[in-house]
Amino acid sequence: MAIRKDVAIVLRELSKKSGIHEGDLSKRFHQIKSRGTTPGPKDIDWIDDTSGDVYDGPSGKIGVYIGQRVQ
Amino acid sequence: MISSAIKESNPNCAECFASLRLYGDALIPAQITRLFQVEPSDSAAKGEMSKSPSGKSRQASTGRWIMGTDGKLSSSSLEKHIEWILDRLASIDIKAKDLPGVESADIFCYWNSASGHGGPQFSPHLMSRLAQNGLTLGLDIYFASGDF
Repeated sequence: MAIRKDVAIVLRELSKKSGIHEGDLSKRFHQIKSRGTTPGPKDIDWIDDTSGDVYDGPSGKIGVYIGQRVQ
Repeated sequence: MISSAIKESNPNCAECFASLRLYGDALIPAQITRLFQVEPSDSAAKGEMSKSPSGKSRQASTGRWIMGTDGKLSSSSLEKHIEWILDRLASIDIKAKDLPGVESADIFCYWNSASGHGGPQFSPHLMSRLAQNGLTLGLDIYFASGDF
């Protein structure tokens, strides 16, 4: 497991592993980064190459890949 | 002669959509929803908690209200998606930054290439409407459609 910023490659790897279309994964990544503290097109976001969790930075706050609202 | 008209579709686009994103510490999502009469794609008040499937929690650092065209329009013309958002704003006759609790606002777009080249195109009319609303336009571009 690693948190990486080469997002395009990680999305391709996750797509192969999960069988989920790469386009669907990229769309999900886009939607999650919108919630972060660095939500712009010029910001670098990171992704966990195993879980797909999205990060604002290599050790920054997490944006959830498949989010679940809690109380 | 080169046409400057915006076509209804863009064969270089596999999928696209646009989102109006509103942020602010004092933003109350339900208040914005009431004004627009449209449910947001995502929203949270400042301090609200969310949790990942792995159990990690995250607190919203500021309030947010995001309204996307994903699932509402199927056009491959990104201009059409942005127009849809601007029409919603026009219908309530309030500029995005004047909405209650809003400190920053933009339109952020997803664009996934179908061909590995090309891109979205915007008319002067659309850009004028964006400027009148004080909205920054951001493009988040992917080449995730497989082999080109």
